[in-house]
Amino acid sequence: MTGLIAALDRRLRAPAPPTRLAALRVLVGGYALGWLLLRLPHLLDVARAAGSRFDPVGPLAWMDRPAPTGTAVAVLLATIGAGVGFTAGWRWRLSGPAFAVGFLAVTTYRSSWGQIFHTENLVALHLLVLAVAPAADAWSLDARRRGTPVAATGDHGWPARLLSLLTVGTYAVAGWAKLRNEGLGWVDGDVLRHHIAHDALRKELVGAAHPSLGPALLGQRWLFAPMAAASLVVELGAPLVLVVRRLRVPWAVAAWTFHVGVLALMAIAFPYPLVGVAFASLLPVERAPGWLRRRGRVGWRRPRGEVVNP
Amino acid sequence: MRGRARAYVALAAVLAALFVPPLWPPADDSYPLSTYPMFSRDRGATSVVATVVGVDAEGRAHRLSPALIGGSAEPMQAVATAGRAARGTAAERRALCRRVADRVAAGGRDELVAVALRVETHDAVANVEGDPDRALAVEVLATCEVAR
Repeated sequence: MTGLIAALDRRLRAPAPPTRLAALRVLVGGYALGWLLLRLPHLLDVARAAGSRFDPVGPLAWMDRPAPTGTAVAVLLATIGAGVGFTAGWRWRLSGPAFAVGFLAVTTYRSSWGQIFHTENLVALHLLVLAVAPAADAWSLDARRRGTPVAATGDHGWPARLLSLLTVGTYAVAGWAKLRNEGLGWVDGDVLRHHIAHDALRKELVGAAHPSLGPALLGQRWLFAPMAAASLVVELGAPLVLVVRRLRVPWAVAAWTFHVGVLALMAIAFPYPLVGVAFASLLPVERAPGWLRRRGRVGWRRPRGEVVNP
Repeated sequence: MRGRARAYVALAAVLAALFVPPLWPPADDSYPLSTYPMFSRDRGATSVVATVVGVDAEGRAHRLSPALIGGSAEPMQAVATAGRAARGTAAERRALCRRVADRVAAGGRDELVAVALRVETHDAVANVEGDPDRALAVEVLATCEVAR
C-alpha cells in the first residue's frame, strides 16, 4: 500500500519543465481571454439583462437578484484586464487568481438566466488549477523581470497532470451519465436521433437557423447506432490516456472529431476542444515553439530566463 | 512540503469537482460542476416546446427571432426564457408576452399586431424532415397586442 502511494506520488509530482506550464498558461489564458473578447457583445447583453429571468447557479446561487448593471460590466472589464496579465504572466500572484475567479464569475453569471451552458466548464476549471500553480516561472513578464532561470520541479508537473485529469474526467462523466440514464440502450442510436431532431425543432420554433447536417440525416436511421457507439467509446475510454501515453494523440484526435460531428449534426460548438486547447495538457506543448522555429514558420528568440528542457 | 500539500489539496479539489456531482447528483444541473446530462436521456420522438410567436392581422402565426424572444441572439436563451415563462405564473407569462411585444414594436415587424406565448407539441423527427409549422397540438398561454 505504501509502495502504491509512493508510486502515485512520484507520478503526480514528477518534475516537468516550467515551460510546459508556461505554454499551458499562454494557451488556456489566451483562449479564455479571446473568448471573452469575441463574446463581449453577448456578455454585455447578459450584464444588462432583465431581473425576472434571473436564476443563479453554482458559486452565484447565493444571489437573490441580479448584480447592478454597472457592477456586472465592471467585473467583466476587470476580468478582461486580469486576463491580459494572466496570459502575459504579469504580477502572477494577483493576475492568476483574479482572472480565474473573474472568468468563473462571468461565465456563471451567463449561465444564471435559465440556461446552463456546458461549453465553458472545462476552461473555468483549467484556469482555477493554473491560478494556484507557478505557471509564470517561464515565458512571462515576471520571469523576464526576475531574470534568473527556474529549474524544473514537481511543482511544474502536477498542474499539467491535473489539467489532463479534468479533461478526460469530464468526458468520462458525460459517458457515465448516458449509461446511468439509458443503459446500453443509449447506443441503439434512437436517443441521439431524437436529440438531434428535438434540438433542430426548438431552434426552428424560436426563429433561429439550424444550418446543420443532422436534420438532413434523420431519415438515415442506420447511421445513428455507430455514431452513438463511437461517442460512448471516446467518452468512457478517455481515462485510459492517463495510463497509456501513446493513446493520447489518437484519443485527442478522436475527441476533436467527436466535437466536429456535434457541430456538423447539431450546430452546437464546443470551441475549447474544437480549437484544440482543451487537449494541450496531454501533449508536450512547450516543444511547439522549437518545432515551429525549425520549420522556419515563425521568427523566435528564446526569452531571457527560459530553462532548456531537461 | 508546502508544494506537496498544495498538489494534494488541488488533486482533492479536482477529484471532488469531477466525481461529487455524478455520485451524489444535485437536484438540478449546475455550473461549473455538472453531471453533464446533455444528450444522456431519451427525449422520445415527441417534443413539447414553449415559444413566442407573432400574430398578423389575419390571425396567422409567424416565427420571431431569438433576440425578440429572449433578448439576446442565443437561441438556447430564447428557448429557456419561453420555457420558464410557460412553467411560471400567469403574471410571469404576461410579463414575457409584454416584453416581447415591446421588442416587436421597436423592431420593425410591422405586419405583426400581437404576440402569443404558446406551448407546441410536435413529432420532432417528422417535423424536422417536413414542415416545422405542423404541430400536433398548440396551447396558447398568453396573448398581448403590439402597441404602436
